[in-house]
Amino acid sequence: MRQHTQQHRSTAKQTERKPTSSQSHLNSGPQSASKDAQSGTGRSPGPRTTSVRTRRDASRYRKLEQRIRDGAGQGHLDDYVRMWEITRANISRFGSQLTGPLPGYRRGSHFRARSHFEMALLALWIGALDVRENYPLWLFSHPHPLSGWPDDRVERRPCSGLLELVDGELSARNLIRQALRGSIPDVTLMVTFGNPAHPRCMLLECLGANAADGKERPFPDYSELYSSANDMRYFASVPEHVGHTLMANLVACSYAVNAVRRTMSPSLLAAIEDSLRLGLEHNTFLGAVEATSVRLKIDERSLWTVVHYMKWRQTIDVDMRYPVYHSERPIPGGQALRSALQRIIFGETS
Amino acid sequence: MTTLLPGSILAKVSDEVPFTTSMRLLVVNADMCWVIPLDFSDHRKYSRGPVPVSCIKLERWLDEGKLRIAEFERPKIWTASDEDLNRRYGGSAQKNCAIVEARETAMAAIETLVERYCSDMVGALTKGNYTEWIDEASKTGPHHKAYLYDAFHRYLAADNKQVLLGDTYRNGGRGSPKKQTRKLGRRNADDAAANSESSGYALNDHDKLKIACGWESFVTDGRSTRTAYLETMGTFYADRIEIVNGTETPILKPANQRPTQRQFNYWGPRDDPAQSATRRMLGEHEYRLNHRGLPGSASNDVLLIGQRAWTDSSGGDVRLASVFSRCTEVGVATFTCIVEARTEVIPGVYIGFERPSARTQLLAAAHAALPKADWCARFGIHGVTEDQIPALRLDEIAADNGEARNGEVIRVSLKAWEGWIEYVRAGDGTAKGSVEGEHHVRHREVDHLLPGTTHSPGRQARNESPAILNYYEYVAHHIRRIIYHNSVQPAPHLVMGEMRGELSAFATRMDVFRWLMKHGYINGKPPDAEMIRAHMLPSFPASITKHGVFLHRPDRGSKKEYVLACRFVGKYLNESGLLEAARRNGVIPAEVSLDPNDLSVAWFRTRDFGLERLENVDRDRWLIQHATLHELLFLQDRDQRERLQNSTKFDQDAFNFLHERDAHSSVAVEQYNIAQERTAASPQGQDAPNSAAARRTETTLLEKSGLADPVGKFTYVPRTTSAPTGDKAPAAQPLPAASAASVTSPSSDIADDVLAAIDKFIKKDS
Repeated sequence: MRQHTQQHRSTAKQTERKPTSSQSHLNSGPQSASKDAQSGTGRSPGPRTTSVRTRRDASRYRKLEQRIRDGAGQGHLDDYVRMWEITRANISRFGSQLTGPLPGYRRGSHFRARSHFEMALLALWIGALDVRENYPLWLFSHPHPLSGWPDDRVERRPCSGLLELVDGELSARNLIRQALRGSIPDVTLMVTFGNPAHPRCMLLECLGANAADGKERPFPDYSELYSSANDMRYFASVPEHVGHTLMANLVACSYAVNAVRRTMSPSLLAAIEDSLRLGLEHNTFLGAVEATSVRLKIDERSLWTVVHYMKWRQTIDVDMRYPVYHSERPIPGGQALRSALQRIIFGETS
Repeated sequence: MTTLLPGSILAKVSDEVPFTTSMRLLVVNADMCWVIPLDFSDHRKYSRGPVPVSCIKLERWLDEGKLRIAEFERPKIWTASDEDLNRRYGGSAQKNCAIVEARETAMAAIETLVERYCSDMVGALTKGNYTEWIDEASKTGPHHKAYLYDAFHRYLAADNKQVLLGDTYRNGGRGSPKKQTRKLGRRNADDAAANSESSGYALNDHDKLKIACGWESFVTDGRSTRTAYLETMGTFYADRIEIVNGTETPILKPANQRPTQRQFNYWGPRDDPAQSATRRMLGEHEYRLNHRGLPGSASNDVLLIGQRAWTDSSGGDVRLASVFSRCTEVGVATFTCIVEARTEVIPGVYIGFERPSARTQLLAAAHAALPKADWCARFGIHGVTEDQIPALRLDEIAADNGEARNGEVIRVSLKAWEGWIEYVRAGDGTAKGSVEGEHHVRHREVDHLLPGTTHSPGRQARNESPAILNYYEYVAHHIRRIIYHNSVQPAPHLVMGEMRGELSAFATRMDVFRWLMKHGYINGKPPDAEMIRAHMLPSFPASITKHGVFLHRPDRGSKKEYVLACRFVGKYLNESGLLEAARRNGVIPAEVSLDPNDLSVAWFRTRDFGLERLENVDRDRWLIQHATLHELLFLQDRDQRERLQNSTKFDQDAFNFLHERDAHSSVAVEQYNIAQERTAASPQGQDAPNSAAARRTETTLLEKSGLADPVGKFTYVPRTTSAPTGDKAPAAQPLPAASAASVTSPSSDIADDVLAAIDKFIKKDS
């Protein structure tokens, strides 16, 4: 923060006497920006810093301001306002971008790469309460990422911003320069997990395919710095961490979560689950579904949706690391795998 | 506390541990352990031997996390069999290659040591017995002491005899550039004839850099490597510049003072496959599109039907004629195809004249989710069932960054069926699976074989085939083709082992589809049709009048211009009282959703966000069945244009009609006026048109002359409007004498006088 002030002191005296509203956003966080927007201060021209700042940069900065006013990077669950989203312009030449509702959500999530989407699915599968993609690492001191969590009973202290954490004036100036061009560092996933009444959060960074051998580590690694300074867990994953078959199974089953929510009442779902669980004790998936269909007089297509849902929830113990054949009995081990992954990623047992 | 087991590998975690490499634990004896470094690098000539470490220290380091138990990763060459090594390094069954020979020699040298060591490990290390064994062996055997120590230590550390393989296979420093003091390769013919050393140019680092720079700059599309070589030589290896024929020309150095073409070809790409001449000339886009190797399939991770679909748009490649006239060309249709990833079934398409956009993309997706029987029947193909073209729920649609990449598609997809959209990386057609190939197949099977194609088969010159088929016939061709693709064409590559018991190798895509559906490899039911129509069919402005809902032209902005033959009526309009309201209050603005390619039905958006079905009740059924909105607008525009072009004639004809009518009327009026003028000239004739008055005059005259009607039948009775119709006519009044006298006169003057008297009398009487 000190470096930020010095930079403007040296370049624009007007700014020193009376900071513009955009500077006040950088200093005081997203909530003050929202307050400004509510009080009707309107669009600000942005700080007048150096001549190298182009009109395009100023435009990007105004967009960033507007996004902060709109609540970007804030909220939980379906109320989370994403910081980054797919537009006509931000096309990638290196990987697939995805948008859609994650299991259990109604809002659309936007992912920069398929591996990010897969890690979000994995986090939800092993029991994450909430997954917020592209979560901004604010430059300034700001409320804790878990503040505002429904049913939270813990008093959260404010978190330090990156400007307070980075070493050296050069890094701080670089951060400010990026911010004035509309770019804020972010982490791939901010994951909320644990007891809903006393949740914890962690930063889950998805690295590129070449990061496993240390070739492509993000530099500087703001996520790790931010997590250690603010007492949060940090986990960096690479695509090789997750098996191909496991991820294919998870993706296939994940769609059933929202399908069941849309089409089935909780009581009917419970009845079907009981019947299927009973059938699977001594039968294949196919046999269990046929028997349940006859018993409950429900079409098989709906029952298969419930089977996928049960595989996702692991209410039937299926090891998702192997291909799941419906003409065979399930291979147990999925629950143990989930617990193991919980220990590795969340650092805790369920 | 960690238990120390002999054979464990101890990896260093903290710098506080005084090990330089990972160590193998050889022996645990009471309070002392023996470890040996796992160092097989070339930095040391001889490998190091076992060292004693306190067990307490080791356990403490392990407990504190400064050491950890690790796995030893063996070099890959250790896993190779002798046959593999001989094949790779020039050996045979009769004579092993050099590195295997080296291993056998070393193993034979330490064989006795190993046997003794295995029988007394503790004694060998604690008492130093093995040094005595080696001293003894070096004296008796052919090998030096250092050689025996090195071989034995390596064997102890690796616990594998492959560690003794010779390292000559690493000779030459593979992978690292060698400093050249003379030109590599054989001498040229001159040097060989002179029996002298090679006079060729030896490359230094600067030369390599220049060659790489020249390669990157000059090897491009349309230039051969020979041309690029010469240009590089001219740029970097020119002695001087001379003016030749008025142009500056670099004069190259002598051939032995600059790199050769072979050196240029070798050092230009620098072992980087991306810099190969073929790849550079093709261009990265073309290379990635058509020439790179594919390590897998885009549908490898798709397990369920409907889990993923691929979509893309392309041109129809057939010029189409209007449904109204084969002489009128209306353009080339856009074809947006959706291919289901698991079974490659085509569940939906968009074929229309609209350019690719979010709307066409959503129409294609909606088509995939809705039943297709009505659609096929409209184009004359009846009896199409779900077994031929299924209705599917698509959880994820993979598209490129074209028409599908916009906010509307993302928003509608989320709201309509909570689906995912994946935008594949730019410039890579293979990321979208088989849909790019599907365009090609469709063109080969249908489009390029139809009359009016834009691309004739067999790379023939483009013949300007006229547009013959119309939209109605063209879509019918493609429906037949989709049915063939889905339910007739064998797809043996989709038949998995699990299906073999029930399906033959000639199973079609729909056979596979049914099998997967029966066995539960399907994502769920198709979404609600109402929901799909509400969100995915495009909306059009319309007006409700007392005669129904009329569609506005979408290309007229806010101007209300009705589309030809698009009058929609439904039960809802009557029941809701909208028609009655429109009759009382005039036109009511409204909005309808419809498929622009199917104008037979529209969906009226009610205020409570519902949809009500409206039928097109225009009496031109042929037009509704055959034409699309695009063609109707085209027809309407054409009509308007014709009307405009012929407006002079139309106006003239209309004016002629008016003029003729007026002319005839004028003649009649003129004749009337002439007749009136004539009547005014002769007073008797003035009343001629009035026969009643003439009769009255006649009667009066007859009475006057005593020749009146005795029964009073022809007696004049003046009628008054107030007289009741049923009353008897009053008796004839006697005429006054003066009047009678005047009547008797035969001349007209007399008659005039008589009539005047009569009039006077009548007025007096009344």
